[in-house]
Amino acid sequence: MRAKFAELKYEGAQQSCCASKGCGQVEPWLTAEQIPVKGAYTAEDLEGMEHLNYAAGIAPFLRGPYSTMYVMRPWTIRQYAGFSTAEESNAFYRRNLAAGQKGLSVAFDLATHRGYDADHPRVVGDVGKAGVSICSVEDMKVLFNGIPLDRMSVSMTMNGAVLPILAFYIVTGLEQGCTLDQLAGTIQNDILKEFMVRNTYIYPPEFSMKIIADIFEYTSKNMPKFNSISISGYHMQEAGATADIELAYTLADGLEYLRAGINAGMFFWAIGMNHFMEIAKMRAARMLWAKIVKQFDPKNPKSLALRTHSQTSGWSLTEQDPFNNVARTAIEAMGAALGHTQSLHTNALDEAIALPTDFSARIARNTQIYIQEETSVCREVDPWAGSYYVETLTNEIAHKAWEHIQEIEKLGGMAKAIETGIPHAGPHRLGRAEDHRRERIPPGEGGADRYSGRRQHGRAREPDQAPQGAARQPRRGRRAACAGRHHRVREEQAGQPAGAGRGGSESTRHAGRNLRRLRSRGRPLQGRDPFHFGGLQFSREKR
Amino acid sequence: MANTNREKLFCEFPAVSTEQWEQVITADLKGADYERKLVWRTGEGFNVRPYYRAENLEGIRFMGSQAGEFPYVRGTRKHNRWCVHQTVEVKCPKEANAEALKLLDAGVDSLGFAIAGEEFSAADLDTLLAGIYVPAVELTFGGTAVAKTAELVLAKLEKEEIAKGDAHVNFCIDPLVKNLASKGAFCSPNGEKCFARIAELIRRTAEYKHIRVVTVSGETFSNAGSTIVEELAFTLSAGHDYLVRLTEAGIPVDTAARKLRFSMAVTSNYFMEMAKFRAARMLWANIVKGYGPEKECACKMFTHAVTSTWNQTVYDPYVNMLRGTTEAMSASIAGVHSLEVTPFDAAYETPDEFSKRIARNAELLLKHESHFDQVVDPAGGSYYIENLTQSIAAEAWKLFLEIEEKGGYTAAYEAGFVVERVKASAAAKDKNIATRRQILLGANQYPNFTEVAGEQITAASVARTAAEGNVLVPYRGAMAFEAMRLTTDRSGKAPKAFMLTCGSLAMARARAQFSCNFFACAGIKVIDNTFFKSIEEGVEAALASKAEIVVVCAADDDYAVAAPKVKELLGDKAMLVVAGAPACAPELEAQGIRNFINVKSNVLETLKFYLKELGI
Repeated sequence: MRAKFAELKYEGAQQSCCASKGCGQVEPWLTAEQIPVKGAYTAEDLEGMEHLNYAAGIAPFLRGPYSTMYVMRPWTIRQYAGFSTAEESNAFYRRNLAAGQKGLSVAFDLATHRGYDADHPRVVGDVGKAGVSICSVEDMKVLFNGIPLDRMSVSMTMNGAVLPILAFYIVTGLEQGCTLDQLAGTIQNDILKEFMVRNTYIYPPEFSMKIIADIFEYTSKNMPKFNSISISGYHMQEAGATADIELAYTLADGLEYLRAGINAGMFFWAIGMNHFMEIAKMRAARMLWAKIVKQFDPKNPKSLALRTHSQTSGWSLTEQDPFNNVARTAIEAMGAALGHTQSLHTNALDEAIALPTDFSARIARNTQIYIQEETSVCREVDPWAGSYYVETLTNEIAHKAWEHIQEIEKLGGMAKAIETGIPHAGPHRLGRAEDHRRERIPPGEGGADRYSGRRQHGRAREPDQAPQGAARQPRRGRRAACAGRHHRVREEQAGQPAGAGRGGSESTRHAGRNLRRLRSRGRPLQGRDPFHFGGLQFSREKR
Repeated sequence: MANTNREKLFCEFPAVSTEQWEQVITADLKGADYERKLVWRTGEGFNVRPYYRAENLEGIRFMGSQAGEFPYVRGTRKHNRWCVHQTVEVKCPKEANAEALKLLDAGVDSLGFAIAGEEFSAADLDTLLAGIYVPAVELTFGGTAVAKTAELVLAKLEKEEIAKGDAHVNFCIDPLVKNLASKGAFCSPNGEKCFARIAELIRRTAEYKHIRVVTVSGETFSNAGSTIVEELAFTLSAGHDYLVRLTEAGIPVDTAARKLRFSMAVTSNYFMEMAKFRAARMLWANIVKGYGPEKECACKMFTHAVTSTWNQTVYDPYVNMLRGTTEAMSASIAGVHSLEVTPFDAAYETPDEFSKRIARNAELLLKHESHFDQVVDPAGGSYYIENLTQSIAAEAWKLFLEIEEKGGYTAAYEAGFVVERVKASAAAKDKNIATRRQILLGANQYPNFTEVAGEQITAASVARTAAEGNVLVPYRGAMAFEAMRLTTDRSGKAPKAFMLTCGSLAMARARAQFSCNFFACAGIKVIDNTFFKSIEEGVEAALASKAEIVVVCAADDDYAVAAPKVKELLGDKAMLVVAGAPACAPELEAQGIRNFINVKSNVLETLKFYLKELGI
């Protein structure tokens, strides 16, 4: 006899027939951010949350800086690249643009970052490595040959030598026939984090801040489509910071720039593997930034909006089994998209070890095109809004980050905090967070497949309780391998001719270098590390 | 609640009303049509709004049920520890055993065995399972003569006295979906023989709580081109038919329901697929409920997911890795019991160790690095996903009831209804792919310019089998493009398309990019050029390149002058194509310039026409 169906039923007779048998209540899990995560979230978890009724396009921008987000226009696919000569980089850019990339992101070599000409004896060996060498307007014109700058937004990772590089770019645009107000893009110009983690500064902090302020004044008057600063949390996560620290310290940097009169609304996040935490981080960041800017009472409500570029994490990549990195980067790119980034760089599978080839660059770029064109995730504004789990994480990380920011404020802001050493002394944030993260790395570093299922053979399986212990033992972190690897790469490069340099994730490399330095000094670090935050003593890393 | 006592962080920002949001959207639209720009008309028969808010949850009646509670929208369990499934082809039992052991070492905890040939014996089974401790893994047997294999497996379990609650074993017996779809008819009148055997196996395994005899192969629909709603409704209908026939055979509904396993495909439609599995659990629970089971547990749907083969491509196969990854994300977030990621090379070769390893690693990464197994149903509460779940459930239930009116799945299938529906959906998708309204990256958009099909790609791997009779034939959406491109690759000719860029630089570049990506889809080599200062210079270079096709790339306003001039200089030495849809097209056509490519082109048909002109 066939049953007759009419109305669907939504309630069961019994509450839950297997509850008594423990259909697997889950142990709470403590994330690297020290946020406890339960096995299940319900509507009750949302009670009392104050942020649930915010929107997109309206402060505090929880659900995105624009009212319709990707439904109208998806994020910009912006692959960070540059290597060897301007000619070669130009050819590489054009191949990428032809294959669906939408924006450019220029990686400069170390010599350019440090403000040296390519023929200077102090930079022999660095020219054309990890980025393109640009010494003059003529080089810049070659770099953008055949790329109409009135239609192409260009991001430039440049902090130390901002003045000449920005000037070259502007002149190139003008000579192509563009007007200043057509030039669109971003220059990183975030000097505070250079003193914290990355180290390619030229001038002391005070002068550096003056340069930033001057650039800001010029561009806000003449180049409305150009972002004169992009505040980077990326390098902090790469140096081992957890999501809450990355979020807090980056926003605190932003606050410091605001105080210097620089209205910085552009940020740069690293997106790691803890998918939902990263989505929560990006949502919380927009609210907190709006809150920070609000104190300054800006006239235009749009200045409360945080916009961001993102890059998938180099920290999470492995060398041993590079094709696992394809999936990692895809998962991270989904995180960036669902957290609503404005532009994204996806790492190539060999990003941690070599210059991306056309092959690996293609997969990296395709990761983004695939997500935009095939998964339909761009059809919706902030699809995770309302999720009991994601809203809880958003709330938790917002509060945690705000506490960190308050701590920095008590010390008189980030510049002062750097001087007193807060980001690494005392509880030793960056390094300690790094330890927390390392513990979370599964065994069989890199080769996730080395995880042994066979160990279970001798043991009866408890239904619904998969073995966890074996998979959760702290081991030597991937990071350690990473730092070592960067070391090796650099040594290998020393013998290479200038033209054969490597590009790709220079930032990763720098992070690795910092880490290596941290490690070589033992742990935990005591007090101030003149090298780690060397800028304030104005001492340079030994090269 | 903890949140209430917390410091308030956002007092300075009042809640935003929907009216306020809509006002900003209206302003941002700058006069564009809201419905056309922002509302997604899905292929599933309902529309999706650009955003959902808390107020959109009102009236969704399944809200409030928790994981492990009827109707199980949020999951049949209170955790999300899914099994990592991988299938081993069993030709030689010894080799298969070695592979299985390796898989267990590599993190797989759900083994599938696809048995080839009818000769599989009890001794073969012993060899196959040597060294595998049955209670520690889930085993699934498929392939040929599954019922016979099932008897061997049961005999072995009994002989080895494995505790009845410890054997987690599934059999892929599926006369209703798999057999009907491939043969169009039962092997005995109304499948009586099959069902008698199923009933017998169910009776024999009644006390084995974790043995499932039937697997409803829902991916059959998806991989033949059905919509998500169709796959769901047909799968539920077939499941219902099993339930009806088994209870009619005297098996209690509690037992019958627990002996069914459901398998479905997961496509790249990220949130829609999540919603499908959530809706599936709710609807199936209702179906079983209709038979008044003694225990509510019997209403739990046991679901396996396998990533789609329909959307895989043989060109640019690494995109398949990306597909597998996000599909695995969808399924694992949705809360399936087990999941298999199809290796990226499955469409053109027997997957090798590398591709299988990468496939299962996608799942292991999600577990161990992204912690997807830590939280059950992260989608719960999401305004969007809850609404999608509601919409999918409503549409699928409507179709399910329609099939009920036709007398159930078997009757509807035999009347041709199922095949007709799937064929229509597949045809709609094919058209969308030909016109690029649906993208298969690497096949109909952004092809790899330098890729030439390797030897492993054969004509057979890109040929779509014609359906004969009332059957469902699996195919891949990219096949039409791939067949065309393979013809070019194997033609021995290497046709070239030359981009004659002129006029305004920005438009010339944009059009050259579009055109390169257009012609490369057919395996035509593209010669891109930055910019020619004069048409004469461009034509000279074009002639020197010996390209068979010359594409004029400029702004629409340039074409009235530029196109005829190129035609005059070029003569009949190459085929002339204009990139764009200029207003002056009629005048150009009057001058014999007839080839235009633009975003409205049917890419597939246009390219086929050009290849024919080139004699390929």
